Amino acid sequence: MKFMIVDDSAFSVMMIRDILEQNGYNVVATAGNKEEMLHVFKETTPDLVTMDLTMPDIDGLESVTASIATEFGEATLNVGFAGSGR
Amino acid sequence: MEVKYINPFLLAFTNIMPQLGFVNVEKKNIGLASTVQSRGIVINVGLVGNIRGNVIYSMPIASGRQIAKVMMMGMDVPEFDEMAQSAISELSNMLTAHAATDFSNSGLEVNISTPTMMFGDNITVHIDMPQSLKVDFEADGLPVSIYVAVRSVAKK
Repeated sequence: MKFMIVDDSAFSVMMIRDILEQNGYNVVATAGNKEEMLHVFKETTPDLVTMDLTMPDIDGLESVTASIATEFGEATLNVGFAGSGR
Repeated sequence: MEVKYINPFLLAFTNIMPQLGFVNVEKKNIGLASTVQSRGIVINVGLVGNIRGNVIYSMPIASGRQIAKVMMMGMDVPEFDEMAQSAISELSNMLTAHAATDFSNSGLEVNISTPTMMFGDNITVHIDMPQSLKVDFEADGLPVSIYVAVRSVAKK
């Protein structure tokens, strides 16, 4: 299964990547903002995306899923959301 | 500032730090403070909603490096580099978000800003809110100060 990690925190990306890779998963891409997210999603076609809920240029579950769905269609949208302490 | 508005921030520190791997988390001092004087790291997180204001975290660079090391599972942190900065910034986010959740459980809606971090040899921050509180903690002997400058806003 191919994973993509979207988070503007370098620390969070590192920790999520470590956890996934230590459990045998393949992290094919990371992104730190909306533009990068849409670009690398298209490039790497991950099976599952872990998504920070609050980033400077994109915020909230609906806007994130809407961005991906608008860009790539709603056929196979698997997104996990993460937010420290919330 | 009413005591009930500071407790969520104290609870956040004493709950979150052990989850990160710190064994001894102690509150050392609490008192009024209108100025942050730091020779190290200062992080400001804003709050909006039924509780408004700022919470400011301050610590020496050495504390920041050691806390980042614990957060990164013991990885060596010889300098307060970009990854260490990101870890400490995330810590302030986790602590403030924990407090915001606590407020939310009490029926007070609070949103927090992304953290703003500064670090340097001689940083002064003036807090323009009466009766702001400074709480000094130690996590396994590493000093961290939390300045709470918030006020409540009546729910509409």
